[in-house]
Amino acid sequence: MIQIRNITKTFGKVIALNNVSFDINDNQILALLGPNGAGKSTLMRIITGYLSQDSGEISIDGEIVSTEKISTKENIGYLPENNPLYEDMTVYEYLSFISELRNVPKERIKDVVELCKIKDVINRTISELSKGYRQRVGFAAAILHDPKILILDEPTAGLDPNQATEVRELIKEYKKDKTIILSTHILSEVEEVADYVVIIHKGIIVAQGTIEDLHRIVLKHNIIYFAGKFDKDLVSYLPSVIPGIYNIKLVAKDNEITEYEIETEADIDIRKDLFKMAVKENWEIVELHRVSVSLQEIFRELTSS
Amino acid sequence: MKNVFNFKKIKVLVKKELNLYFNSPIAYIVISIFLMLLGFFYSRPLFIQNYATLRHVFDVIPLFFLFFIPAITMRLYSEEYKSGTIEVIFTLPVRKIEVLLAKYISAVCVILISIILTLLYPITLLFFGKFDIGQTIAGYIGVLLLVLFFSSIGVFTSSFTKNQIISFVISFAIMFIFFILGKLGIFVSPTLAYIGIDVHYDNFVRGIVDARDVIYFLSLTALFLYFTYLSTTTEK
Repeated sequence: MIQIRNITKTFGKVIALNNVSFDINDNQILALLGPNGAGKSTLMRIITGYLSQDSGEISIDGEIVSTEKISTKENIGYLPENNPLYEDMTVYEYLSFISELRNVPKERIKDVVELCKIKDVINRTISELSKGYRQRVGFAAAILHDPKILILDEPTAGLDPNQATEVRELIKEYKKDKTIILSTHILSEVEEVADYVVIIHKGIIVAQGTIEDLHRIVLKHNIIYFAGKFDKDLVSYLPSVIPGIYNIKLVAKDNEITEYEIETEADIDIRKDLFKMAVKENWEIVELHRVSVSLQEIFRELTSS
Repeated sequence: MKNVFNFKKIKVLVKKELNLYFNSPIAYIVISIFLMLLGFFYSRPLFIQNYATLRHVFDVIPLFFLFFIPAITMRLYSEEYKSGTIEVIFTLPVRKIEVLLAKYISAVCVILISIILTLLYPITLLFFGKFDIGQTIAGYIGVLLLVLFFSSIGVFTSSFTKNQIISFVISFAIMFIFFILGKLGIFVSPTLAYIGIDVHYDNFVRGIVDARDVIYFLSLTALFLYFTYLSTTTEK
C-alpha cells in the first residue's frame, strides 16, 4: 500500500503539486491522468525518490520514502518519461549494468529479454534501436529486479499504435500481483489497463475513482438510446406511463424508424420498463442501450476550467 | 553500516563510466593530442639541446592540463543531465556520493592512463644518458596530485550544467585562476601566490616532496569534491 499524504512541491514560483493525497492499494493498476504540466511526472519522481517534496509524506508499506534511502529505490522499478538510456551501450551491457547495481543474478536478464521480446537486438547499440525497441529495453530494465511497485511515466508516448499495443500487452502481462502506477494522456489506454484513475489538473486532484465512479461523478443522469418502429409520438406518451423520465428528445426519424434519447435520473434504469412496454404495445425495437460517456468527455469536463 | 561505501557498486559504476569513455572516440582523440603535444616538449631539448631531462615536460604539464582535464571531465554529469539518464542512475539503489566517487575515479583513471603512457619518456631517457630518477619520481607525484586536484574541479563544474561546453569553459576558468595565481600572485602578495599551484608543484618538479604541498593538493581536491556533492544533492 502506498500512502500519499499532503504532498506539495514548488519549482520557484510554480506550484507543481498542491496538497495531493491519495492511497494506492496493492495489486492495483493506477493511472495518473492529466494534461501536460499537470504534475504527473513530478509526483512520480517524488514516489521514486528522485525528487524531494516541500511538505507532506509518502510511505510504501509504512516505510517513508526519501531521496537518500536505498530501500525506497530497491522496491521500485521506474521507467522515466522519454525513456532515457545510455545510448553508447549495447542492450546487453545496459541490462547487465542495471542487474549488477540491483544485485540481480545474470540469469534473470535472459527471462526479461524473453518476456520483452528483445532477444534479436540484445547485442545492438541502443542508439541504433527503433523507438518501440527502446521502450521495451527501458521496460526490461525497470522490471529486471522484479519490483513489487512499477512506475511508468508515459510508457506509450511517441509510439505508433502497434508499438503502443505491444507495450500495453507487456504491462498487462506483468500485472499479476504487482502495483503499477502509470501516467498517460491517452484515454483509451486508461480504459484498457487501469483499475483506478486519478485525474490531476494544475497540481490538484480533480477526481479519482474507478472508471465507473468517474462516470457517475460527471454524469448527473442516465441517457437511454431507444430506436424502433413506433405507432405513437413517444415524446408526449412515455413520460406519462414510465415514471422518472425528465427529458426525452427525438434524435432522428425516417420512414419507419424513429430514434429517441431518453434522460432519466442517474439512479433509475428504465431499460426493462421500455422493453416490457414495447412488448405490450407491439413495437418493433431495433436498438435499446444506455449511452456511455467516454472517458474523453469526462476528462475534458474535469480539466477544462 | 550507513556511512560505509558499497565498493562493489562503486566498482560497477566505474566500469560503466570507463565503458562509456572508451566506447566513444573522444577519449582516444584527447589522449592522442595530449601525448603528441607533450612528445614535442620532451624531444626538443633531447635532440636539439642534448639535455636528458624531463624538466620541460613537467613544466608544460599544468598548462596542458588546463585544456586536457576539462575535456575529459566535462561529460561526467552534463551528459547524463542532457540525456536524462541521471534519472535512471539516481533511482537505482546507489547513493549519490557513490555515483560521484565513481565518476571522479573513472576520470582520474582515464587521465592516469595517458600519464602512464608518458612513462615511455623517462624509460627511453635511460638509454640516452644519466638523469635524476628520484627527481623524476617526485615530479610524477606532483603530476598525480595535480591530476587529482584538477579532476575534482572538472567533476564539480560538470555537476551543475547539462551543457558540456559550459562545463569545459568554467572548469578551465577555475583551473586558470589557480594556475595564474602561482605565476603572477607573487607580484601582489606571497599569500596569493601560495594559493596558486606553482609554488607547490615546482617543489615536486625540483625533487622536493613536502607534506605541506601534498596537503595543499589533497585538501583542495576534497573541497571541490564536497562542492560537487552539495551540487548533486541540491535540486535544480
